[in-house]
Amino acid sequence: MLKLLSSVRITVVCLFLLFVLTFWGTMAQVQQGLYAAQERFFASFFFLAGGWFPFPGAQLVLWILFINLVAALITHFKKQSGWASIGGKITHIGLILYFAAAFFIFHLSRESYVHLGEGDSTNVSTSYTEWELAYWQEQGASRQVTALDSKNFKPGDRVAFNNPDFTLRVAQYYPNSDAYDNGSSPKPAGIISLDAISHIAGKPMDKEREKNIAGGVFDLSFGGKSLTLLLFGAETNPTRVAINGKNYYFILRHKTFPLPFALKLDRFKVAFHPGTDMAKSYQSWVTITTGSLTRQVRIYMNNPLRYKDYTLYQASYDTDPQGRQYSTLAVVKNSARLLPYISCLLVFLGLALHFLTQAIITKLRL
Amino acid sequence: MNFLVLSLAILLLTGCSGQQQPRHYTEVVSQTPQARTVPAPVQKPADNPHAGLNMGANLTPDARANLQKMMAEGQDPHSGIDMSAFAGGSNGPAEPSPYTWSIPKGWKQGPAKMMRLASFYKEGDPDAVDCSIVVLPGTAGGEEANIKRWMGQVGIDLSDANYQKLLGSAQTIQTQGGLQAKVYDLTALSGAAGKSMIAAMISTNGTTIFVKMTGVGQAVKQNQAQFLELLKSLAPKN
Repeated sequence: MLKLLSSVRITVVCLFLLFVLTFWGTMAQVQQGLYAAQERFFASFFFLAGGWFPFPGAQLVLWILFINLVAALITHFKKQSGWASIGGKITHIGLILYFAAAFFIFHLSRESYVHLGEGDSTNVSTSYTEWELAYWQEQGASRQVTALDSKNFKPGDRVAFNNPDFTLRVAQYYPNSDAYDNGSSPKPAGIISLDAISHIAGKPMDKEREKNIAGGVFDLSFGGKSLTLLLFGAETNPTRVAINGKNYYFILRHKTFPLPFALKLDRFKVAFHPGTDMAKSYQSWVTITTGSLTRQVRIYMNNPLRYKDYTLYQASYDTDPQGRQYSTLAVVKNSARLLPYISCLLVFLGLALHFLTQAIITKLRL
Repeated sequence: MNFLVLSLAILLLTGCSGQQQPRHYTEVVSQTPQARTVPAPVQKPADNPHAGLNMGANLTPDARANLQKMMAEGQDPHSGIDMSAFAGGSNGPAEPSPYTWSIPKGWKQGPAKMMRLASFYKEGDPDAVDCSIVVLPGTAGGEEANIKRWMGQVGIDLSDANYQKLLGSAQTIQTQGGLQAKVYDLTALSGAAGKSMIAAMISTNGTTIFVKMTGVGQAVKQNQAQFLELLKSLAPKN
């Protein structure tokens, strides 16, 4: 059984399938969008090619390849126990560690962004695609936020904020939605929403996930009252509701992650190609504060800011109607960032030892 | 080793947990209101259909800033724009529209979205079609670039034959306000089930007005009469 699992034929077939999947998945991103293609080709165990033919996804192929490598390593250990095979074993362990690294990065890393104008600062980053329902009481620069991921909201669910002042239930939740007013008629009584929004309707998911705008209809009960709270993800301001003499601010927004540091954008500079609006280069000067320590860093192309598990890259920029420029920094949190380097080192070490031992053996035989 | 054990424990716990618990955190944000807008993820210059064109050459500073913002955010500049750019004045929804129109029977006007002069939808079926009126300064890239972009948006093959076919099918309509509109009907090329569009371009007073309706081909065709009614009612304010 072990011999069968460690067959080099399996390795070759898996590598060939990975080649096909990589090529196919990359081409499909043009039509299907980045996230849809990633899910279909790389995050799946199986998918239906042409709508009927089951084809293995990258996840399945990688698991098989992982098992194949582990089996090969065990077989290798069993067959060759001498010092001459130590290089090959280390190489195998390095490759297996690569798979482990990929597994942990896939499941544990997180991508988000911060969006700052010159002089602005923040201690949170925002998800590109995930949404949360959040509320707070103080509407100031600093606020204590309570939030829940809205991904699994179902009609009838009680939103588990566990706040004694109010009860919130999901009436409808749409991962992608549009908001409408009531035409020339006034907003129906009992509806709380921003602007003239009186109706939220779902619409098909956009293939580019970051373009979807969540919307929700919630039943809000407090002090014997029952109201309908409409929250639309495109609204950047929270909806205020007075409950038991306190102001509560509710918002449906992209999931927000607290950062272990405060970040201030001191300066941003963009240079254009002459005569065009194409950016030639853009860079951000930021101050990062952790406790009483501050550090000034310039972030630009291929020169990110690294802090513990966090890496901040210069991602894009934009300009508001007043001409004020904003810098967008991609924030990647990767707790397993060192694993690929360790694997690479092990593979290098293993191969170096292998060639060295083979050279010594050959020389001794001569 | 500790890291591996911890990670596995986290995975197992997240996989097995029942009702999710709320997250509590302190958010300290010092930002202007504009900075709270959500930007799209990285937009490479190569993704920009106007890359290489000097889109801002003849714009006012406000209009130029607006256009740059939309391009940086990956938005379709012709699906909506802040009218302050057109008016050359300050930003804000209070800016009066320089045009008037009549809402066709069976349609409703949607809430004023920041980036659009007006949006419309079908009463009782708000998802059937999405219609908008947008005004851009100057030529907004010109006829050819816009038509090719529209064809790309609804997935029509950008071959010369299709392009010529669309150009040939353009209809010229005079609105009640004396504006000359060129109407491009993409439904013949996209089919009834595919995504489709009818769009009109009006060049007037150094600006370009776009009236655009998108939806599934069949729905676009069914709402064509209302679209033309809306277009014909368009007039400059006195």
